Amino acid sequence: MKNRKDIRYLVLFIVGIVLLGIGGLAIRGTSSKLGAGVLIVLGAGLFGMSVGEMIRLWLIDKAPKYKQKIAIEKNDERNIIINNKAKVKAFDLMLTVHSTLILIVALLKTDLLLTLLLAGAYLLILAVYVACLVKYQKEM
Amino acid sequence: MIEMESMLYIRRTGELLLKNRLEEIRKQKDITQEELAERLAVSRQTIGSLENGRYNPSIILAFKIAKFFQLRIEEIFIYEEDNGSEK
Repeated sequence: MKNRKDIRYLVLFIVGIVLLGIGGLAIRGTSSKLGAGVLIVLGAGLFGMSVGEMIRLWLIDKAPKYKQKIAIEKNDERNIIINNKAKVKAFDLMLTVHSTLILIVALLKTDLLLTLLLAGAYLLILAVYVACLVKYQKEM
Repeated sequence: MIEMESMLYIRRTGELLLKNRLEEIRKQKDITQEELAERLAVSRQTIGSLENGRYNPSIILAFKIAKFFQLRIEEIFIYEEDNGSEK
């Protein structure tokens, strides 16, 4: 285990095993089956993801040429711009879809809490957008 | 609805074209796209896009390219303002 990423996945691996263990014990006991199921699912997810990532990092370490290629692809300015452009498009669309969804949920007269949650999420996204605008205006 | 327009879209309206002699200079030096990409720490696709004029490099990359070929930026990249006659 060499760097922070490795350690992070090791921690997630241990947490996954612990959650699986607790979930396994809880499902046999008298406690809530739903809670135990959630723990098992979370544990299995963390376990699988961390093992996969650790194997990937180990394989990359074995092939420095491949590691360098991945680093270049990741930091390539054109790739970053393409990725950002795609995100911008998706963000614009997401705002339209999200606001339409809020309107539909409101018109369906379902639980008010659901409408408020959706509207809150929408406002949170806009707040982050404005905060980032202010931050970058100051930085650049 | 707030119209979200990114800085990235500015280029769409005020199109700035940057022609370059990258392919010509690279071939003169007998370097492949892969080799140049590796030396500049960018992907081969970036070099290809630069040569085809589909992508304008950052000022940092332009300087890196100029430094690599030991030329001035203006000797590689030619700035032309779009007057609407092209495309």
